[in-house]
Amino acid sequence: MNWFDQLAAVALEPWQFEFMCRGMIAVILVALTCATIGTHVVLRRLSFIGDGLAHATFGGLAIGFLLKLNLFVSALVAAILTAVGIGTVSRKAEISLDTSIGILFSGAFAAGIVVLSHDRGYRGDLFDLLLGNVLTVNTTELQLTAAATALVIACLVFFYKEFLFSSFDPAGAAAAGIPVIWLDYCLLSLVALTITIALQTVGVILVSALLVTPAASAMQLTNRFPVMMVLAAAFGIFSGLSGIYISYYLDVPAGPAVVLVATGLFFASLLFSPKRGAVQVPEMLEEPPGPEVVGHFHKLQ
Amino acid sequence: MQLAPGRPAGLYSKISGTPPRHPVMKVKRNNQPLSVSLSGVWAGYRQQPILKDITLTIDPGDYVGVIGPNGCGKSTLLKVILGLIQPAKGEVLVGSSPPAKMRKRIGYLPQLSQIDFNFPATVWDVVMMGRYGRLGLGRAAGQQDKEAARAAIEQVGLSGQLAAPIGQLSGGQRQRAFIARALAQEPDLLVLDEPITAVDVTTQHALTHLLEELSNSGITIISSTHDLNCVASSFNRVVCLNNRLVAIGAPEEVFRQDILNETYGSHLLIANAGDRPGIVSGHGHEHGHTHGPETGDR
Repeated sequence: MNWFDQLAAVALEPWQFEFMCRGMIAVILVALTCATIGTHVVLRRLSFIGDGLAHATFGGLAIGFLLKLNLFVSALVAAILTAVGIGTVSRKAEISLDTSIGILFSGAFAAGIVVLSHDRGYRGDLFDLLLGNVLTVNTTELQLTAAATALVIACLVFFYKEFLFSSFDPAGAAAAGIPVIWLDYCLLSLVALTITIALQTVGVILVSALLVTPAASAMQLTNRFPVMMVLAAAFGIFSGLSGIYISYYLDVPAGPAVVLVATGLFFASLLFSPKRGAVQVPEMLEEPPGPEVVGHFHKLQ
Repeated sequence: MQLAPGRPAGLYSKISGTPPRHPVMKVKRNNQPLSVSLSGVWAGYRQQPILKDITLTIDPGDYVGVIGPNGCGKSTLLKVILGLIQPAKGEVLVGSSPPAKMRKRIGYLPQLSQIDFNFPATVWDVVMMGRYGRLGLGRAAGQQDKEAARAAIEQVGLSGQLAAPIGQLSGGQRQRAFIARALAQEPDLLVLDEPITAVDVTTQHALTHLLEELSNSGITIISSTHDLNCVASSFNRVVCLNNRLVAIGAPEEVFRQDILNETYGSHLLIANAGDRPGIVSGHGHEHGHTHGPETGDR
């Protein structure tokens, strides 16, 4: 067997199990969705909101579990309610956004822990919810994940210019007649949906890393928003795919493996960043360069 | 108040010669400049109103400077005119409609201290945003939008900088890029929040000249500023604000010791240079400062 066949065998081995296929597709979809919407999360400095919403979904899961509701729906409702709540509280009450998030998400998370730890039979699943478990993704969940991915990306593409303008300059966008407040709620709801589908695969604790890290890596490498979005999506998919191979061959949980790959990519992109990296790659700058950029080239040569 | 046809050359040209000029294109304009009127406007927080009972009229084609100390309500006044802040009491009309209905005809330059210049965008991206409000939800920009953006960039003299990331622009270039964004909207009213701030003197001259040219092309311009000399040399109307409206009128009319004292609550010295008054120093003002960049103004 030559090296190519060996490589192919390694790459294909996990795919012979149906549960691995489902898990892999789910992880890739989740990573793609998180990374794409994550560009707005990073540029709007909402990283903390991602974390907050993830913890709030945990409260929703607990309530859903207690009342024997559909867990996906109860998590999603909790996340969207929290998203809208965070926006409204900070708009009306004149307290800072991070304070209102801090209050709402710790409350919801504490409620979730109390409810779930009370039920002894649920302890194992509790760990799954906190760290995710791709191996238990069933067909329905996979379909839901695919539908959510399609919805999130469709919205981001359709309202591309509106989201871009209001992420960059909310006051300017509002003055130009862009429905900024409506878009804010829309974006927060999409983040809530993204987080809900990500719970199964990466869990409550790590989901915000998947939202933020690929987008932050992409930001190091480009000065164009569309390029950043595509790069982030690529980083997300790569992290998802390689994370699950690592998980399969090293027998570690997939969620943390995915996040570790994403983190590694972030440090690599820091290193190769044309803006501030240690290793300069001039080709990565957008052309045609202005005079300042030309100056930058001179320094390299 | 009439639009002065040949604006006096201003203080700067007397002191340091002609400011650097950039070619300004004649823009074909179909619409008329807009008027603005406020009657009995109160705005701000319930316990602490920032604007108290403001009544004023700005005529079509006016070039208006809004001055006052930090926290006097300059930005709030502009946001009320833009329809971004709803007045608690009183009425705002742009042309003959509420501001929210006139958004497509109002260009806005926000305070650049509130913009994140690490945002991945080029000059072109920023200026194209000026077209987004006109396009409607979900519609992509067409050829006409690109031409308008290109014309606006040319007008502010940034054509060589199309692909430059905004983070690498100088202070003056940033202001120009955002003015171009407002111009790409093809506005009949320009609302500028501190357009000439945190830039060196040469850039100040160039920006002042650009704004004068825009005013001459028949756009109503309302601009907040903390540079009183700029007010003296170029605006044809000045609004003195200190939560209340202290005075409105031509620079010659409002640049009086008593009016400035009431506006700034401090002692500013007025010196006359030819036919125009100027401010030569500002001491001991408790409310703010007239030199250097202002931040966190409401």
